Amino acid sequence: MSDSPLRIVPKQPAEPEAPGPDALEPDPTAQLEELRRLLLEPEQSKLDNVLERLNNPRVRAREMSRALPEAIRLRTAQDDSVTEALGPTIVTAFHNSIKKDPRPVADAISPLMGPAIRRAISNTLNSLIQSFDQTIKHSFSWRGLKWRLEAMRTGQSFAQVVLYHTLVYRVEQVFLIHKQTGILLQHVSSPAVETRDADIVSGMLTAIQDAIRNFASDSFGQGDDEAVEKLDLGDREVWLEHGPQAVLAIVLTGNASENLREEYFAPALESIHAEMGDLLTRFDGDTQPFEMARHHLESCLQTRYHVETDPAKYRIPSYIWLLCILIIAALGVWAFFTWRAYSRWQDYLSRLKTEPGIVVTEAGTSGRTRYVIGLRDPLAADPDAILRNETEINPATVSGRWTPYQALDPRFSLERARRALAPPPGVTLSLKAGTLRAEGIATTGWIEDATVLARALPGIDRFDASRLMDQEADSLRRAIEARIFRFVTGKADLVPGQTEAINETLAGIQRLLEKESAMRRKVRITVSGHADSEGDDAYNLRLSRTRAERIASLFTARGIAQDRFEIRGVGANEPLRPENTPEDRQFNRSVSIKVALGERQ
Amino acid sequence: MIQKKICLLGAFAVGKTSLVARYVKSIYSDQYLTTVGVKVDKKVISLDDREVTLIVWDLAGEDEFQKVQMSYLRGASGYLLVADGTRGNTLETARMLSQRTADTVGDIPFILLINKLDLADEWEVEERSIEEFRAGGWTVIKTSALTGEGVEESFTQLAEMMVK
Repeated sequence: MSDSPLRIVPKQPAEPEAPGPDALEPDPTAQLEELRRLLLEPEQSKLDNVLERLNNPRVRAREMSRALPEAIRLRTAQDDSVTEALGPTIVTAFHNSIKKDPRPVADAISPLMGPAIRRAISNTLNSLIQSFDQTIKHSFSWRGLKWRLEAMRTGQSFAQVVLYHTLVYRVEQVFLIHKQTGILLQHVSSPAVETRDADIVSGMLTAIQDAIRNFASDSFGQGDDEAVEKLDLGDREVWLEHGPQAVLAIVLTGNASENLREEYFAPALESIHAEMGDLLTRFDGDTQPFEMARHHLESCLQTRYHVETDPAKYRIPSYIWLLCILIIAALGVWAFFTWRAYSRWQDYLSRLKTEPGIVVTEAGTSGRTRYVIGLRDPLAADPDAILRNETEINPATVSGRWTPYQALDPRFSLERARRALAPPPGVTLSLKAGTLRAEGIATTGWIEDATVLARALPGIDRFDASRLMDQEADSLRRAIEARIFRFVTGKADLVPGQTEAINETLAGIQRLLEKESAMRRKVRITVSGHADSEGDDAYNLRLSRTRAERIASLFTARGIAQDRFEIRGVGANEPLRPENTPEDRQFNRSVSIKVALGERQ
Repeated sequence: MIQKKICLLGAFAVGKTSLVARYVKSIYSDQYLTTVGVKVDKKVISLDDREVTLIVWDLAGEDEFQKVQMSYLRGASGYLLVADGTRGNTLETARMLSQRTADTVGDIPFILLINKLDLADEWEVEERSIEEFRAGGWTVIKTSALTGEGVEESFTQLAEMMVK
């Protein structure tokens, strides 16, 4: 922009460029305008410039951007109004930014938070592992057992006792105290350490140092600025590390080496002064910022245990191994015997289940004894005998409770019949499909009784006595059949001297016939006539028949009905004896009698 | 969190210790007063929704045999000066202690408590002399360890004066 009116002149439009009807006669308005322009040109230009700066937002923003930092600086030095004004906006912006995308913020703070979190975790883990390690190491040794007893006796935890015996030293608490006021700035303690009101303790600790300093000064003329470095309190010590503005008070147990001061305490206090010197100098009671000193304090929480150089002490002693093996072996033996006892018991139960006449309804174990409950036919095998003779189970450990019952098994029905009927020696009983059959020779009385009794027995539907022979009838039959009646050669005449035999036979037949109804059997008598082999057959047949008729007539003559007899003539066809001698021929010239007893009715 | 160190000062047997006994958290016995010469307690008060922790250094009473150990005053942000209303000379001791405190730690806020208000009938201290103190710019509160009158108020007021 030009300030000189002289340079404005050439800017005036040339006359030929503005020709017009009025050109020669000047317009007064135009002249005034021209005059104002000539007079106010520089100011107008400035005014336009200012107006543009005011109205154009881009220009205004540029202007403000130059002034803003300085303006904020100036105002902040004056009072807190900028902070107060911006506070809510910044909080909202921060909040929105995180809500929209938390990553940038996370990325920004992670370099700060990461190491702090890592350190906190590793510290906690370390101390955990250390104490766990100590506890494990001592859990199995002989000394460990001793300590366990001690823990039980004193009511402390095992871990505490281990700690007590193995600890060289442990820093329990660290106080960061403002030197001037004695106010506690920060405090940390080891896990499981009881801490009372740390801020009161901090004050008292400061007061006591004052008291000691005063005492030292009064008593020994020591300077007032001599610092107290250690308070010995029996099993605890308080170490004091002094800085220009702050004091570290370290409470520890055990015997710590002075190296700790150089290694941990002094560096921690130095770092705190280096990082927070300004805060310490201007300290007005706000302890919040000293949270930042916490990790320095935590670095002072050192613990040391006795390091055992002899690894054998940590090895599990051989007697423990031996004990383990013995226990395992004992368990094995116990398991074997338990299994064997179980399997024997199962075998016994299966054996009982297959035994006829025994029904197991319940079996089990009660305390140290086993029991079995069920039904048993009195005729069945004795379970106790099976237990004793067929198993290896100790009978004293087993109790059986058996309720008697009658099994319908054919074997038991037959046995029951034997016991009930008591058959005589010549009689055998058999049972088939519900039918009890008796065979043999018995007295009429027994046969009668058995017929009645058998039907009342369980498991027996029918009694078959068809093969039972009456004892007396049988002997009569034998006696009758044993005799032959001899005849003279070629004739139907009896050899003399046989009258008694004929009479005895007749009596036998009569007796048999009398018994017929009692036996309920039909008696049939066959009279067979024989001839020797000499002579012709037809004659012999005739002769032999005549002989048979002769004997039968003797019996009918004595009152026995004719129809009782079957009369046969067999000639020489059925010789009673092979004919080798004249005696044999004489024997065959005879009559024989057979008695048949019919089916029992 | 704001923490402030304050001291309790006064002549022997003005009832300093019993004045605060019910109002502070204490883990040490009164024996510390005779052995160490000081007993540290804690009092948390609420000030405009803000918590202020007062670390209360209760200093052994001043008498002809024992002087208050002035080094204990170092770093204090304020103090309560306690006198016994029934013993006029304790007011003088208070004035003297106040002077010595100012010499040691400079001008810091303090309140003069005239204790044993419950024995008002036996008071030697007259209202006129109290007014004189007030006229000299002192804050004076009458208290009673027995009834607790004025005790909380004293702590709160001192805290206000210190935080201001």
